[in-house]
Amino acid sequence: MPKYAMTIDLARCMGCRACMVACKVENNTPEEQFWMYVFRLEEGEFPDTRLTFLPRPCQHCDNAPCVKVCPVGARYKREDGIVLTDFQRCIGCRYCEVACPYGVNYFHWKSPKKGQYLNWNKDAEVKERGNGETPPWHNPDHDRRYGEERRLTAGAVHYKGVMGKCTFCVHRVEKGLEPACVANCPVRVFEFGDLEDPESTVSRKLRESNRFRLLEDVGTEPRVFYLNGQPPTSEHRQLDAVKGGKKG
Amino acid sequence: MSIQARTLRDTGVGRWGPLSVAAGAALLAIVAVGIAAYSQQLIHGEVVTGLRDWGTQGGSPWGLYIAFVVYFIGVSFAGISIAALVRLLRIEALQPITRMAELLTIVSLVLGAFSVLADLGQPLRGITNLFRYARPQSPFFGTFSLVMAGYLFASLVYFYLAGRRDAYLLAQEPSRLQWFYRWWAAGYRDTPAQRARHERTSFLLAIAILPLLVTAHSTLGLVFGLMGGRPGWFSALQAPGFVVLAGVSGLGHIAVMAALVRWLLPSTREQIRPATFRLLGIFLMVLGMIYLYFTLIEVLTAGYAAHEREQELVALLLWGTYAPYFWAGTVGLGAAVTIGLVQGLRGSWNIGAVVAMGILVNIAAIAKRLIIVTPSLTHGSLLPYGHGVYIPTWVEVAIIVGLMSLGALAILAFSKLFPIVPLESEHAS
Amino acid sequence: MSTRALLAASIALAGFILGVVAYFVLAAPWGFPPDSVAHSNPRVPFAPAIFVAGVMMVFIAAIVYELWPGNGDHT
Repeated sequence: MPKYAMTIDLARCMGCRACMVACKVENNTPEEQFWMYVFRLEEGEFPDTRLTFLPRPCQHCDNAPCVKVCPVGARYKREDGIVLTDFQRCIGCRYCEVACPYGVNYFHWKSPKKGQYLNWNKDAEVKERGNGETPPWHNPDHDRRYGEERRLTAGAVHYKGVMGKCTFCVHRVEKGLEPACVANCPVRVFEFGDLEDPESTVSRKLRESNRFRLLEDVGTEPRVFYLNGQPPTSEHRQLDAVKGGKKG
Repeated sequence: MSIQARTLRDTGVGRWGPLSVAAGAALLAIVAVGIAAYSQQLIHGEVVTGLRDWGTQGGSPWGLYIAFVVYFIGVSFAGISIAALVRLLRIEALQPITRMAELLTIVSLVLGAFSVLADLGQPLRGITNLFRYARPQSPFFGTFSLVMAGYLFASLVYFYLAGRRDAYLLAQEPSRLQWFYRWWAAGYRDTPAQRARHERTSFLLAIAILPLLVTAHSTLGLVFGLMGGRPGWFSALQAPGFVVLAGVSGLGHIAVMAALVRWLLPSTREQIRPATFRLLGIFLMVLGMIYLYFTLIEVLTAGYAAHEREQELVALLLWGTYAPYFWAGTVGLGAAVTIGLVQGLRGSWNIGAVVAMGILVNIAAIAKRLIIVTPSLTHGSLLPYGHGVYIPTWVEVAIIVGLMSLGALAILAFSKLFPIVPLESEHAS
Repeated sequence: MSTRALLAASIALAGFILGVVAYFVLAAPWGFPPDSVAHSNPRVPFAPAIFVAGVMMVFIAAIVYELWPGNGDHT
């Protein structure tokens, strides 16, 4: 059984947010939801300021607070370490979101189909963009069931009133592909691989680099390791916070 | 007082006067607005509420609904604690209010369950999946199983058994509801053997429900207290604090309700005496003092030398965004305790003053519940997300007010079916 | 001990045992850390319902004790 982990090389990140876009395209997350998010942080006073970038996927913690508090076992950790939500079991209490110190959970406040950037109910508009055809509004791979338990866990397209978050692109990992953010980063900030294999890129990078994990003192044991950088402090402020509005 | 002296007429049972009809209709109208609001939420999803994800959306995923889950379940403290005081300590002055206290417990627990359902994104799954998959490791397990099933069911059993004697007495008189009273009495004839038996069961029930009471309110506190990644919540004081504040709001509620019943049903004035209110006032005062002490310790611990996020949250409560709620809560409780102290020193307890205490502590309890839930979500992030806001929408407010009206309506309707004050002291005869 | 008391006591005891067994043996196991799928599923389907039924049985015993017919119901 592999032990999946991700490394994020902060020295390489230039804050282009291509990973955020790749994630949106791959997982069809509705508006205002960022399963992958990149902090653009500023520190110091003008003119003596410094910019840093910090990508924030789900940390897939080994001691995941969201898994502990889920009242129905919809949030669970697979044997390979990926933390997933069973969209057919989730009752939408949002306890996982409240328990998570990283803010990676996104609730479907409305129907995911309605939340897409393009309105699939307006056929003409969609056809115009799809060269005369109506493409499926989401990746069909999300409708398949993954893992030994065959649970519905991939993508952000299923029900309103349930919780969603980064899945490490479980539907791609199961096919032997890398998560979308990893595959689409222009400067190879991310590595994804097996910790059990000492020759994997993640294992090698972890041996060679300085590393930290986010909010180590909360005891969540994340599977996401940050390399060649510093953890954010309270001195950091967001340069351009991506805030969801209150619009319906 | 003989049975004949207080017949059905005097108890208000079966009599819908103009006041009751008007009150009932008004409550029903508010409930209808609540149902309309909830249907909006069912159709469009919780996007119609002011709730949003914390973090990049800058909102609060829990708000009014959860605050009132906590408040309603807190109010339920009243019933069994009063029953237990009567049974275990033999406090006769509280005997006449046992039934309304029990009723309040049952009604507020049901309202608490409804608030949970209002909060859930998938309410139907909430009902089925909790019975199917609920995990003891989740702090919600206690709320779901012990509060909703154990505590509510135990209170129903207690309520049913304690009412059999009155049902038997009522079944003696011809009325349209005679069948109902006969069913409730279920063979009870008030023989000495049956009376002794009831004494034994209610004593044992009171003893059995007391630990359940502490557990139930504690598990609710643990829902917040166990969250290590949430500054402002992670505290060993949450569980005991919840138990005490539950007592404060529950007893405050019952004081108001007892005064209302006493005012509306003149026949009960001989039973619900000033002594009843004196006791309620004393309990309220003591519990209020304990809670004020808890508040002080909480603020001191988080503000003295804690993690900087904890300190920020304390500043937010004391003079920041949430200061109005914090001070409404603290000053409300302080005023109630002061009223109690003044009356205690004077040696005379005024019913109006105890009612004022009851209203004050409930305003305080609601304010306190709100600042337990939201500040940590909007301002407690350990990562540099920045601050969030939470402003409830009319849907949330309408649902909560609708639920309160539903509760009031249920109590009103019950008082027309069954005497809300026991017919006569069970120990007299 | 009367039949009534015996019956009530055994129902209460059975309910208590059922509750304890359902909580510790039938429901989803605790996990520190919860590192396996096993922690998300009850070991026996509907174990939480069994737990709730157990808790309810304890209190049903009180009804049985009072409503069981006979002995002193008539004067």
